[in-house]
Amino acid sequence: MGASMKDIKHRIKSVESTMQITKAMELVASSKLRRAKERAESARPFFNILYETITDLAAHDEESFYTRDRSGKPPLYIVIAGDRGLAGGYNANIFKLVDPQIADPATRIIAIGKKSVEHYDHRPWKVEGRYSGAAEQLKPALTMEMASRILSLYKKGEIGNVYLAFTQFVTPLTQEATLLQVLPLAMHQDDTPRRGEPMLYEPSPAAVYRSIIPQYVSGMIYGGIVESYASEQGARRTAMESASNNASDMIGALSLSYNRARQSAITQELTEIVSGANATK
Amino acid sequence: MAAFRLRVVTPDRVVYDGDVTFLMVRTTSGDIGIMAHHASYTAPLAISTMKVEFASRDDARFAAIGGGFLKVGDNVATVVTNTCEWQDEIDLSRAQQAAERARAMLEASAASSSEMDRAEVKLKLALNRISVAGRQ
Repeated sequence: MGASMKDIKHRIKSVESTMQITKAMELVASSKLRRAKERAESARPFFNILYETITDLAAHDEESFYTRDRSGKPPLYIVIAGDRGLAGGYNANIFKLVDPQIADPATRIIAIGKKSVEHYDHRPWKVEGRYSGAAEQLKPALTMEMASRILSLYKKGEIGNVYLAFTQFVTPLTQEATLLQVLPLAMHQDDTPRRGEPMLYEPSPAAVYRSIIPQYVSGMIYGGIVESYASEQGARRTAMESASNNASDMIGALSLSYNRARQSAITQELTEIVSGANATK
Repeated sequence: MAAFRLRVVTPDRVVYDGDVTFLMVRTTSGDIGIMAHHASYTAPLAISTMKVEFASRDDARFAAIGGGFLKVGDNVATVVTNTCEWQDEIDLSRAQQAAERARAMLEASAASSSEMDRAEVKLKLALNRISVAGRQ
């Protein structure tokens, strides 16, 4: 019985130290979540207005370089995942969404987040860009650089459609892995053709697109990263909260069996003492 | 005067969303003034000053704009840009420091051409902020 008491004690200790870690991570994630959520919420109008403005532009002119269908060429996926694990299904969900979509073996990937880089380095597709550790201190200059890299591939005709895979932050408890087509510009879903006056472009449509498209791509990636980062913190907090709960349940169960073992050890000792005393009489 | 809706958004916030009577910004091909019921119009913006007039107040407000683009249509003007501060929000000493840093960067011969480009943009942004802040 003594050995089993020691075993149980050992297990309680180990569960306790795990719980300390999960508790600490939960606290860190909730404080980061608060900031990340604010940032995501303040970036959302920008993201939405940018998307709406660009699709509206695309609806105005159907035949431009950026609206033409390019489905014959290998697609490019921009996949945003976290820099760390221990966030429940956060990282796995985005890969589960993207990977089955990829049919073309020549597909290109831009991996954002350490987990995404690690994942796609072990896959057959060519990784065009690796960006890890960028999400926490995100600067528009970095997403601008990504955008210019993507657009130079696009202009050279090496890639067709460009998709952005990110995790939408719905509430701190629910996050949704989302796939969005960035290029070519998608039209509005409504079938009614655009009425009214034609759009005036200054200095020329081509010049306007040349200047706006990089900002659009960069803005979309920026929004995607900010949303994903908030989602990651939310997912981690939830995961760590349930891990801490499980740990405390486990400690409860283990303490119970520890006390039982201790009780029965005492009883046995007593019985031995009493029977020993009886024998010497 | 007839009003129209102006939206100014940056990645960190919505700078303005409301009715205005007049908007002036500098596009890459020159200054443009927008009033209500303007034709559909799209143009990239330069790093420059934005002037806005309101129906509710007499004086105009100025803001420092860091590039981006302008789209006008259906009586709504949308300015999408990476940075935008109203005149009273500009931190003058910070802008001056940024200008100094960018100048030092441009003078350093070791900088690569992409670093030079970046420093040049930073210098333009800082000088634009300083000029907007100093406006009467």
